[in-house]
Amino acid sequence: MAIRRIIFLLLMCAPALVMAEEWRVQVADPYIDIHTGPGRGYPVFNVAEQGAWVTLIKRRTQWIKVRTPRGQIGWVHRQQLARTLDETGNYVALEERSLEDFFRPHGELGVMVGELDNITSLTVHGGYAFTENLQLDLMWTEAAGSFANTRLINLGLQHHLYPRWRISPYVLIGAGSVRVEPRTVLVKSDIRSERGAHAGLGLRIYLTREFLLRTEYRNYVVLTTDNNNDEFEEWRTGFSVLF
Amino acid sequence: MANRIQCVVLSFFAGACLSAVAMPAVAAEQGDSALIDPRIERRQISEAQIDSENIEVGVYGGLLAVDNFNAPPVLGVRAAWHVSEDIFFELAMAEAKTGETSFEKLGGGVQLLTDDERVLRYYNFSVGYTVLPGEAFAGRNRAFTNGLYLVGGAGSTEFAGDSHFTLNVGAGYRLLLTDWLNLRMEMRNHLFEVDVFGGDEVTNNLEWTFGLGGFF
Repeated sequence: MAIRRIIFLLLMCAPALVMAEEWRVQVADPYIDIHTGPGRGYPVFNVAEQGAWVTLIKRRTQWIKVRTPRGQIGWVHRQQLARTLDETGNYVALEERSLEDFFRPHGELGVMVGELDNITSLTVHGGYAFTENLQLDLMWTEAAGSFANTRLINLGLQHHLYPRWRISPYVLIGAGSVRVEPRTVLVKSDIRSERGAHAGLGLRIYLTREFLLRTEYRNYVVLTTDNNNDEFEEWRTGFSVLF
Repeated sequence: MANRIQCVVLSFFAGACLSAVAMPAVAAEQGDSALIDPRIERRQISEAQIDSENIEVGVYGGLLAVDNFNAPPVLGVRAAWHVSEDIFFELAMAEAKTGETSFEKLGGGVQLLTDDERVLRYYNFSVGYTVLPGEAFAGRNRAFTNGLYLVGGAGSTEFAGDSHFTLNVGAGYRLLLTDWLNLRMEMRNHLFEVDVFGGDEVTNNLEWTFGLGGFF
C-alpha cells in the first residue's frame, strides 16, 4: 500500500497532524502489558498504568501497536485493548464477527485436495453466498495424471440444506469446461477441450467463525462430440475462509 | 477507501501547512487565537477503526536443486495472509531454468528435454505455523523480533513438458527489520513425480531461498 507510505511522508511534513489522525485510549485496568512484538512469545518490556493515555497506531492479527505517553512503542493484545476507555469514557469496542454475519451475503475462498478419476487433484475456489441458502462458486481444478493433465473450470450453485447447523450438508449443480492435455512422453495426441456439467453433494464443517472444512463428492458428465458422453467422479476435501 | 480519503485530506492539509509556512508573517499579524481551537471533539473508538496490516507480500530468490538436474537459481513471489500470530496462509509462485542432466553431458549430443521444457515453474498454497517467536539481538541496544516457522502445502509444478501435483514441506526463519519490513530464509522440499527417465519416480527437490517482504 504505497498510499500509506505517501501518507507517512505527508505526516513527516506536518507533524502537528499526527496526533489528529491517531486514536487515543485511556487505560482502565490497573495496568496493561506492552510486548516488544505482536505475539505472546515476545517479552513484556513495559506497562501502561491506569489513567495513562496510549496512542493506537495500527494492528496486526490480534495485536495493536501502541505508543505510551513516554514515547515507548510496543504491542498490546486486543483483550487488553478492550479494557481501555475512549474519549467518550466507553470501553473500546472489539470487532466481533457474529454468526449472524455469515447469514448475510459474504464471500468464501478455499483450497481443496482430492481425487479426480483416481488422479490427485488440486482445486482453488472462490464463492459468493448471496442468501442464507444459496452460494455461487467458481472453481479451478488441476489433476496431473500419468497419461494426461486435466484442467477444469466450473461455475456452480450450492444449496445449503440446513445453513444453521454446525455440520451443514449441501447439494450442488453446475457447468464448465474440461481441458485434457496428454502427457508429452506419450505419442503426441491432440489437446481436447470439452464442455461438461456436474452435480454433487457435500458437507461444510464450521471449525471457527471464519474457517470451515469442506468435503464433497461430484459427478461430472463431459459432453463429447462422440456419440457417448464421458463420466467421471471426484472426491475432495479442503479448507475455506469466509470473509 | 478510508485510506484514499485520508490521503486526499492529508494532501490538502499538507498544502495548507506549506502555505502557512510560506506566510508566517501574515499569520503572526492576525494573532494565534483564530488558528487554534481548544475544543476537541470526543470520539468513540472501536477496534475496526484501527488500520490493520495482515497481508504480507514479498519476493524471494535462491537455489532449487532439481533432482537429476543441476541446482539453478530460482526466483519467486509470495503473498501471505496472517490469520493469527501463529498461523498464516500463503500463495507462492516461482520459476527456475534447469541445465543438463549428467546423462546428457556424458552422452554427447543427447537431448532429453527441449529448452522450453527445462523451465520449471511452480505454484503452491501452504499453511504456516510460527514456532519459537522471539527476539534477535544486534549489539547492546538493538533487538529485532523474529520467528521460526514450519510450512507445508500443495500445488503444481510445470516441468519437462507436464504438470505434476506437488507437495511441499519446509521451515523458515523470519526477521523483522522494522515492524513492516522483513527478511526471511527458508528451506523447502518440493515432492513430485517425474518420468523423464522412463517410469515414474518421486523426486525430492530442495529449495533454499532468501526473501524480502512487507506487511500491508
